[in-house]
Amino acid sequence: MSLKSKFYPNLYKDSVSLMTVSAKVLAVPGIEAASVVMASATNVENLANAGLGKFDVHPNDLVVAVSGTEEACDEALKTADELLSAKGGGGEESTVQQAVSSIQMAMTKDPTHNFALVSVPGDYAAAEAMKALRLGMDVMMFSDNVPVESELALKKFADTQNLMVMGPDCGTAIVSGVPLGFANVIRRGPIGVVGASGTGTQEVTVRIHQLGSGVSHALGTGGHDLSAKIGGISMLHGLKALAADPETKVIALVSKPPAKEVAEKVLETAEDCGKPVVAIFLGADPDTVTRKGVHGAAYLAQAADMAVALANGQQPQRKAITVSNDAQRKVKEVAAAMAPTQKYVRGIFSGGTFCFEAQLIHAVAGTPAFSNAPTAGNRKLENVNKSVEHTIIDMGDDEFTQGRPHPMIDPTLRDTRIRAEVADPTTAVVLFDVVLGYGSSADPIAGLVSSIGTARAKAQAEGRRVAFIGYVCGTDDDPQNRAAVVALLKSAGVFVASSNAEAATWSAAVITERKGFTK
Amino acid sequence: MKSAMYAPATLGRVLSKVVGCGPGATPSGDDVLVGILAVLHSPCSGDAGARDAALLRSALLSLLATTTDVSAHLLRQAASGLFGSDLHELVRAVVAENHLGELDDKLRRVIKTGATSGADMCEGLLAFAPCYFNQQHERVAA
Repeated sequence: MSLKSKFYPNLYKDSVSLMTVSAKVLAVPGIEAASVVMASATNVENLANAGLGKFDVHPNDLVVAVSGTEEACDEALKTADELLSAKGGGGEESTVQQAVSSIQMAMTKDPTHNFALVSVPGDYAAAEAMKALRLGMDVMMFSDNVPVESELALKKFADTQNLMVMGPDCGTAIVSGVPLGFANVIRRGPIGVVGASGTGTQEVTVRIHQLGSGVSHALGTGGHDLSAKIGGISMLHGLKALAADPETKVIALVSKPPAKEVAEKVLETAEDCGKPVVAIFLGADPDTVTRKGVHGAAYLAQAADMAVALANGQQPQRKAITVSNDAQRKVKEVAAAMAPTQKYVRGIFSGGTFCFEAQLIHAVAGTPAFSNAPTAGNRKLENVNKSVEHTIIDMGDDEFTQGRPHPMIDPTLRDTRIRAEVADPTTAVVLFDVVLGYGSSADPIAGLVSSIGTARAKAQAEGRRVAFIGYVCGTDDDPQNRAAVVALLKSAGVFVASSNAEAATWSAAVITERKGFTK
Repeated sequence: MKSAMYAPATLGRVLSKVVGCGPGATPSGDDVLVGILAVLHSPCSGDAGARDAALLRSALLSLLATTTDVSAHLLRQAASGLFGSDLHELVRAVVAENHLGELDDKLRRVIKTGATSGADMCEGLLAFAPCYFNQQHERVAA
């Protein structure tokens, strides 16, 4: 009996191919034992234990080892060699076309490409974006952790080429009806949006859709664009692009308050752009934003209302959010049923801008809160995992997402946090958002509804009744079916608001009521 | 593997038999480990999962040179808590106790990964899920 073997350096085959080859080799008459494996240390040891010989090979090598009669061994190795060198290695015939692996390749394949979405780790993103810009493409950078110097260099270069860099850290855009990143299914229409905040843009576009109007383009700039260092290069470009776009009749600008000189530059450009502009600089007094042809809004939903009014040829009105009589009654009822210990709001958000807006609305209502991302005047939470007094947190912030998916994609941690808040005897209101659309979890409330159910039952057993107030950001055309999500939340006893601002207003109203009880 | 998790002294010895074991460019033993790591890294495995993931990671790193480069890379990613989206979705579906149709769908997607890699990952996931996820459920319920 002889023992023969052959090895193939750096040859990778999948397990089915290897087992197929093994079986065919073993079927050669006169073969007693055969093995075709990758030469990992463990596999090599197993070969030795099986009496198939000792090998000095590298783990990336493929080993064929056989025992049997001399002739059979030769025949078997020949068979293996044929099978392994054949296309597909004994497995299925491969018909996969060569994958496009660079921006240049994509451009060669179809020279009409004029847009690149870059979503690679931050260290490499700027280099890829620059390649796309040099090929004449507009760029959306989904990647974050890109140094501000690189951002500035990219945007300055893009500006000389009359191209736009959306991002870095641009999570949401809708370009010519194509949703990119976290975006909702929005009707096409006359309103163009330029947003420095992803969820802010989602809220405004969703509301525009719900009001029966539509969006021409929603362009993102990334969160740093309106800093003094970058100077709003992308927002200015987006604004001018929409001003020149024949489909766009009204423009909406969405941002947290920009650096002062940048705000001035953006508003000047808006004033001269020839189309009516609604500007929501969350947290800034809308009167300081308003000027000829530019209408300042105080919160996101209001910006959408005003933009739709303008698109319909009406005068935009800055209507305050009112708590309806029905809501007022519910607020009083739920507040009256609470235990004396229940005083605080716990806002648990997946959307950063929703967290920001909720803090602003609570602060105006006399309820400053702690946060991991505090708005001006609010205090920083010492331990982000532990709420104190009034706490409104953004669970999509870096400290919660290191090495984990964003809570819009995987809400597990958010659900756990909500259970913890309900278990706290001082919690009066749990306020939260659910963001639908492309990119978001296919079933964002599966865990939430059961979490609310068990947490509520436990609180009730301890004599407490917690108010759950939620907002679902999405349209009925989104893949998750907004109507079904809202119905499920309502059946779980959640008060579901029609905008993030309304949810926050309800929450603040409950807290104000509670102040009357606990004084 | 399971009993070795509770006896760190023997973990390295057991792992050396698993890493690189079996057929494929990513040997089956490695794929099973990826499935196990997906359970340990799930937030639903709580502190016990995080502790054991760290334990497994430190025992694994010195063994990576003994398996194929492709597989070593996969294991290195898994040891840092990075998994393919299909596997991640499956873990979520198991945790959420979704209805069977959905679980079935996610399971099929994972099984389709590679030739046998997906099925091997499921082996690891399903073998370890009951130990870690149940513990956590009880703790939440308690």
